[in-house]
Amino acid sequence: MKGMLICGVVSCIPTLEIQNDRDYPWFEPSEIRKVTAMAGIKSRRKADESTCTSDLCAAAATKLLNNLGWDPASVDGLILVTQTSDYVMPSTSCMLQHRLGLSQACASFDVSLGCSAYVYGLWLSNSLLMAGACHRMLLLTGETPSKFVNPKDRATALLFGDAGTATALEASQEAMVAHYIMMTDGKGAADLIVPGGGFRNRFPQDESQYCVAMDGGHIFDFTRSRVPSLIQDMLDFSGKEIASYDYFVFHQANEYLIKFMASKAGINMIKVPLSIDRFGNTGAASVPLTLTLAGLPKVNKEYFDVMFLGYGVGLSWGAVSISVPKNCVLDNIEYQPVREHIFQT
Amino acid sequence: MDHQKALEWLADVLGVNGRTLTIDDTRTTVREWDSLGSLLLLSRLEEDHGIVISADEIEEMDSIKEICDILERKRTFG
Repeated sequence: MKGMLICGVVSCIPTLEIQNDRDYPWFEPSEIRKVTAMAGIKSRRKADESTCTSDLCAAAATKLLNNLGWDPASVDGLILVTQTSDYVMPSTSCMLQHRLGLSQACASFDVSLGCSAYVYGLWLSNSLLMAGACHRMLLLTGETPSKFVNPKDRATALLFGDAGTATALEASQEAMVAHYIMMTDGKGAADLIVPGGGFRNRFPQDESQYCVAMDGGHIFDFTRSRVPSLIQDMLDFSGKEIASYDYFVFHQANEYLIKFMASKAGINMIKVPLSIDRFGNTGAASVPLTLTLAGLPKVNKEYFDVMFLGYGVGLSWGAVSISVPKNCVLDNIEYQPVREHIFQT
Repeated sequence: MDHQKALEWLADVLGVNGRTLTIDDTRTTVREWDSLGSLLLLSRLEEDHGIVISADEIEEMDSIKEICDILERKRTFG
């Protein structure tokens, strides 16, 4: 697809740092060492009780609009991609439209996806911008998994972190062609699921049903079998070689697997930024968070070629091959609570 | 096949400290062989020995001997 420019990305993380080897006294040190060896997660950030995905994304979006000097009224499209929206209804994006001071002539909607959020969000935004349906968009992706993880569940307790991100996108005739591959296999839906609290299982008696349940083996198999072929398919589709890319930004679910898949594809780890060791698996936020923390390479180029890779809950996965302009604004902030914006019910 | 090398490799992967694994050990006797241990085994089997098996296959295994048999078929330590 043509016609979309990435103008800036800002990520926002809570200030509270959780260290796996310090803050989980009920797990044995050997268990924690195994998680660190396997997933590579040493610390994570956790939002406080009153801070939601919308708060982190709003802070990122406000900073982004300021950094770019964009008039909020000039934004005519807002997409929030998350698995942890504030309410069952209304769409959190509608509340964010008001909170960010965007025009009422702004299409705003939520998309329910997690690990593949960023690649799907870019694909959807590019489609709208190329079609002329929108001209300036904010793509928000974020997650507060700390609110659905059982801290005593050894399979998930040490893995997830909270974060929100905002990406500014603009229709542009000058933008380079971007390539997208989007995939789905709902057969694996139960492999990563919060079974309670939705409308199929509204108020389960068993409180663990409100927490995430993960079949780590199946998710591991899925990632190991699907992502290497996804990379190859994207290389074939885009007509580029590994060497053409400046970055491969993987969803940050497992450091071991990222390194393994990069090695298998012949990608030098210098081109693979990581954030999982410090911030854990931040779900929908992980890819843009990793990009903002890495910054663009210090090379004199007009555009940087980047492949984004998202894979997980759904099961849903996809890849984007896109050129990021050298003046793209990348920034990372810590969240400062702004209480007056919290909607009172 | 050198069983001893295979057992040492397994102890390293599973993080078994302070004792030696034997061919008679099982999931019950090796508490480090939990779900995370299985994932470590899956990854290291492929990384170290080029042996690809699925999570379901490894979940069906109950004994250290079954892992050693896989390594023997591959003649990794032979």
